Amino acid sequence: MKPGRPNPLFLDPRISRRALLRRASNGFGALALGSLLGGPGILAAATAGPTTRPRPSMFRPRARNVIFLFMEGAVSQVDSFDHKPLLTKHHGEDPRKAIGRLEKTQFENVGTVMKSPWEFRQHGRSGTWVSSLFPEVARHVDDLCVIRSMTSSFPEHTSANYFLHSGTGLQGRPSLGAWVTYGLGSPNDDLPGYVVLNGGQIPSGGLDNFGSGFLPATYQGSLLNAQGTPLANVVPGETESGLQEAKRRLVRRLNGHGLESSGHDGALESAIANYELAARMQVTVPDLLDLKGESDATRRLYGLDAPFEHTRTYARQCLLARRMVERGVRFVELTVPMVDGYSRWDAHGGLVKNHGNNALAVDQPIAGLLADLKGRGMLEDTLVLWAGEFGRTPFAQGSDGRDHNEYAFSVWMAGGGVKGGMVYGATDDWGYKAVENRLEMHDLHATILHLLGMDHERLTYRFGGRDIRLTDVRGEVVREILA
Amino acid sequence: MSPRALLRTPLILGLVVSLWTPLFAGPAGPEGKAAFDLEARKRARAWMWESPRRQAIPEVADLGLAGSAVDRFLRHRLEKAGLNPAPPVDDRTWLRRAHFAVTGLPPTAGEIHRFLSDRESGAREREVDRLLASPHFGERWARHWMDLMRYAETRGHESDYAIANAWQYRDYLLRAFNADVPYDRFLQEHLAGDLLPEPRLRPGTESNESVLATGWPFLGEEVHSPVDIRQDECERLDNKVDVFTKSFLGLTVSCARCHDHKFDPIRTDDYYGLVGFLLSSSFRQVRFEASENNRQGAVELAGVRARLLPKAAAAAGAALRPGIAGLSRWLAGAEGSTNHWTTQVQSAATNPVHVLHRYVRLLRRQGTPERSPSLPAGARIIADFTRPGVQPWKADGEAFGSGPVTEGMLLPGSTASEPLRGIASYGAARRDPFWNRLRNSPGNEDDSGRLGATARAGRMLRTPTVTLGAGKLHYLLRGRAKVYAAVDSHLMLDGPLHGVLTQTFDSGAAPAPVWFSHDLSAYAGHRTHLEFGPEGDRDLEILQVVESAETPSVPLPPVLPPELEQAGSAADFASALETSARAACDWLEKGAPLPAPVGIPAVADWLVRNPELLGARLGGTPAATALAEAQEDVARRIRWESRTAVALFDGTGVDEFVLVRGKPLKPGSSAPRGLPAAFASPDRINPAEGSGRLELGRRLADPENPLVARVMVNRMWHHLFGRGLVPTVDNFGALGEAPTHPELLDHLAWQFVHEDAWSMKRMIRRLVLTQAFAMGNGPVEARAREIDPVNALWHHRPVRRLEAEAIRDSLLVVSGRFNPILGGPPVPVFLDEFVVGRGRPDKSGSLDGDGRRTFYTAVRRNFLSPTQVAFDFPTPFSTVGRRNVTNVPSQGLARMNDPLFRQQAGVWATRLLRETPGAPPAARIAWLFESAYGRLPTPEEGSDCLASLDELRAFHPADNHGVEAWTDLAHALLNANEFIYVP
Repeated sequence: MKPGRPNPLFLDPRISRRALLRRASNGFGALALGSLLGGPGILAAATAGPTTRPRPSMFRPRARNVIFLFMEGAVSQVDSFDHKPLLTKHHGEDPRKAIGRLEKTQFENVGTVMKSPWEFRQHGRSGTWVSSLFPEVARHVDDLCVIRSMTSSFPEHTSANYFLHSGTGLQGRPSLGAWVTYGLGSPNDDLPGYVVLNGGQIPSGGLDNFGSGFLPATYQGSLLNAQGTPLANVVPGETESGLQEAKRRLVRRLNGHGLESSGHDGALESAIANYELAARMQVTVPDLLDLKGESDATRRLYGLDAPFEHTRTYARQCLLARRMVERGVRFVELTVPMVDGYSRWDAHGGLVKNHGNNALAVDQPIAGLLADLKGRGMLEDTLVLWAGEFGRTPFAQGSDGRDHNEYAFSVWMAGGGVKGGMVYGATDDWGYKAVENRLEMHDLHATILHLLGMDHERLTYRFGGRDIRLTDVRGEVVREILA
Repeated sequence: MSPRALLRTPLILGLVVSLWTPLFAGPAGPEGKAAFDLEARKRARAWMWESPRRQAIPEVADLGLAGSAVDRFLRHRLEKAGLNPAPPVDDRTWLRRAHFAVTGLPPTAGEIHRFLSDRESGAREREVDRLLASPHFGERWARHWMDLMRYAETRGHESDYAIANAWQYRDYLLRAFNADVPYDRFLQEHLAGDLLPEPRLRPGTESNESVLATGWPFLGEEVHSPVDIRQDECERLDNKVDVFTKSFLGLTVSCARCHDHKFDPIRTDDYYGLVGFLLSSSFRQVRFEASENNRQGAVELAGVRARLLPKAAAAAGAALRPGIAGLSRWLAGAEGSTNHWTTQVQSAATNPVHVLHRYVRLLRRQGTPERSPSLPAGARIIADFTRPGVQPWKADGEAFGSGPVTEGMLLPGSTASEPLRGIASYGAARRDPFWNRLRNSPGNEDDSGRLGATARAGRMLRTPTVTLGAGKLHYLLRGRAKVYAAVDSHLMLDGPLHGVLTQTFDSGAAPAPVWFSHDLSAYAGHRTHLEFGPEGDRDLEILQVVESAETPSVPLPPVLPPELEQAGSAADFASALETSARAACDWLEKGAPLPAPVGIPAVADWLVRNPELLGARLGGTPAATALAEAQEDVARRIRWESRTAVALFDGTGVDEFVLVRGKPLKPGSSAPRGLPAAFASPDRINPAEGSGRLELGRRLADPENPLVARVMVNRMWHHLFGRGLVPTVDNFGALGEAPTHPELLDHLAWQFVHEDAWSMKRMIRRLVLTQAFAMGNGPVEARAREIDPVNALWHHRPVRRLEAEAIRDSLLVVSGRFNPILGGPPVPVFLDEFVVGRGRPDKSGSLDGDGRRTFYTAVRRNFLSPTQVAFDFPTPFSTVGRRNVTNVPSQGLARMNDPLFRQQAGVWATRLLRETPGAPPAARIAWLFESAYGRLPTPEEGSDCLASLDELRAFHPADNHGVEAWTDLAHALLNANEFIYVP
């Protein structure tokens, strides 16, 4: 049960006390009332039970789950989804002359205007432009809603990662996945509601990107390694079969005596329930990760047999993401594999190699995921989000890299109630700054929450004397992209 | 009870309404546009804005006048509601509860038996006194405090750079809580420990305790290489204000960064009035072990010099005088021969500040030197050390003395052969070579990045804080200087940007001060101050710091006596030089009184530095020997080596602007430093010089301050009972919760200040010895469930889960692995494969962390112990006075499979078999129960365990001594709820 007060999912400030009394006749009212009335001590006495049970949305949700493909390090928009022929025309020129006044960049090592090394072509019925960096994803453009006018407020990775994840550029705030799980709960009692599938690259800012901040720890992202031991302490320490069960029998008996003598204390009941969930997770998590039941066709679809090692890693992550969504995990996030050392997509130099290899790692697995979700009828209520933390400059850093650019970048969404085959917003002729339908991070967050059936202005948590929102005091739902 | 019934209860309705009112019908109205009426807002929560008063202690029927005041306040409310308190717990349960509450450690079997065998009255009082006197008390309560200060030893962000020596603050807390430093003093140390006229010393040493408290502002996150350095500063300042107001005042002021508080009597200028205190102070690494001793040493040194330097000067004057007669003759013969004079004339030719420069020009008919204005038009002086008193003297340590050295001051040498290094012929801040032996202790940590504050520690001079114009700075220096421009107080210098903020300048062999340029034009319009520090044993003189588009020209030649200035020819100059030299000797023989005659210091300096010109020797005189010996005597009492710690350094007063909607690019009017207006302080704190933190601390510690004592008493209550009298311990404001027992809170706050003299130990003792603390978990009467299901009135004491640290510490104590060593550097975290990311420490700590208490485990922001985090160790980003208490499966997984749980189960079982040789299994089970839960098993539990033991043995056929089966049983006991849930 969560401490803190009042969750407006249940308590709308505008409703009357009479209405409150009416609402309180269901369990959720009681839950919220418990939280309305005080701290953990009070709560422990008043209510008990797991926190991640599904809760009613505020209105009809279009998506039930989210798969967030986090392209950490920042993909260059002008090399992927934002076609800018002018860069070719002015290639090699001084950007201060061609483009005009430039904003400060992280490295302030401004080179010349740089055309994309990749070719752009129109794809699908929608004719959306995609570069040859993503040949496989390009086959699915009619399912994608490409947003070309995304912006950030931070030009450095850590702050921008926090911003993308939590709506503030600071450490210690709840992540999008935590907010979603807090708002909706998670239907699977045997798995955490927010899972981060670690491809090898922990983003700048560390695990706090997936933290629950001031929300209870229940909502934090559980890091699951795609390779090796998947989750801390999930492998039983006992090698002898039946031994752990024998110990648990004693624990259960002792806990039973304790529960009785405490007069059935709620906190103890809840601890017993969670202990049992933990025990079950020793089975469900390995089962989730066991791909033996997947057909060869499925494995090939994702690229599990690809020659490039990192493609295989990401393929496994994407396939696991689908398996989790199937099992009801609410929010799945994927971090990128260690393609280029610690560089991820951060191509300050050697753009061709960096972006080339990163794209090679993720392109086929993502396309496989989209195809698989669609084939199984899961794409309709699964929102796939593909985004980095900011964009890159249309001019070079040094001779062959691109620096950070928070003024424009491209992200895309698919499924889960967004319009496929559409492009939203536009940048200037250089792909440097968003100029049409400019989107801020809070708008993206508001839209995602909306698709999940939640009003971003009402999804709040009382902390430090304020009702805090993922979207702070901003954010507009982008209605144009809703299907 | 159904939710519907729950809501029908009058108590709940009352609470709902009381919460409703401020939330939705607050004085600002839903749009927050109503006029800001400070007094109306204060009246709306009058209980918190009026000073705590002694309250009449209620009479209660079943206690009469017996029972503690606390119990009578609680009982009174229960009686009114017609409720009974749960019956008290037995001695063993009470003891375990008290141990965890006071020291955070479980009682050992020995402690249990000692307590149970004390049948005299007052046994509990004696036990609590023992616990309060235990050094482990400090570990427990310091950790509570660290949650407020978002304590960490690294700066988080991308690379998780270390905060050098941060743990000194942690150990300060440990000692302060153990020494029961009164809270008003503790508070003042946090605000102004560096400024207290009489800092607290660590007993038996000269080590300055008070200054260590000022490290807290710098324990937050720091971003390296932020693109917008000012925005980054605003975020850091906001975090500091947030920590400050929540921790000390129980107020959330941060929202007033952008707009007036929606409900509380806090305006944006209150917020920025607090920001100013922080802007007026800066970061340093303080040589806390040596600073007090050396401050005293500097006083002694000044006394010795005041007494003996004039004598050395007189002796020098006497020694020089006989040679003056030949002076003009030798000078005339200098060219064309090779002697000391030749060298002098040669160097004077190219050195415009040489006394003989004018002479050489006359001789060579080059015309007399121009006296051009030294500063270009439009230049702005940021600091001028050539004259005294131009700006406040802000030096860390003694290396630059107590002020600028002005013209005519004697510069002491350090040996009998060189009693005088010279005479100051111009004013400057000068490094005193006496202090060159200062060094940091081995093992002291260096700063991360390029800051180098540890290198400047105790030998740093700073300028006032200024707002840069175009940002072209010029420094007039001689010697070698490491300069740090603290633009927007940015510390974490690393990465591609901002490297320019630290520079080293070296005048090399130049005989005179040289202008150096430091281009900060990228920071035009930003606030900064400059810190100068020496390097190695090199001299350093700092004359002026100016901002100017043009580089200033070379400095003026020294002022010479009129007869030399007026000499029209080389011959005139030579004969006038004898006159000047005699005047110089006269002056020296008088002991070099100030002010010196015009131009004489330059001549005297030249002669004293070159006595061989006159065939004189200045060393070896009795005066010289006396001076050298007396200085050496002082030097023996100096503490040359010290560790350093993060601390505040007081700068010049800076008021922040009210930033419109919190945006640094929109500065509004200036917000004078002060406590928020709601505190009705008589006036704003705006001292002419310095930050004003000392005064701020005094005002907070005023017994009439309405919040400080209440907030702290409430925190103690929260830690001992699990829920504060005000449940929202960090927010007493309108968006927090109202106190369940306002009179009791008032009464305790009054007692804390007036009866306990702010002693936290006395308050904790009072609370632990109440009947309320000893109350059972239940049974909760049906009537209580009906009318007070949330236990607002404290009719029972709920079971409490141990904090993350107490869980790990319990494992160690129970198993016998506990290592009780106090204090010292952090113990590295055990890193498993799930602790990953940039900046990960190279080496993992050992699994059991050497058995040390969790209090000492390294707190690296990006690499916290996953097991600790699973049990709600808070992310150190801001004040967390009330931790989450969650129930998540990762806790169950940890109890089942965490290697530390498993390892310690084995250690514990081994200890069991060692300490109970030949004992029957039932006795061993009792031993385990007492060790883990502080009690003996019930017969049912005993037989359950025996049955389980048989079952477990079957899994270990080759287990001769039974240790494996016992390990399994031990592990199960550590997994049962009672190990981490304390009744």
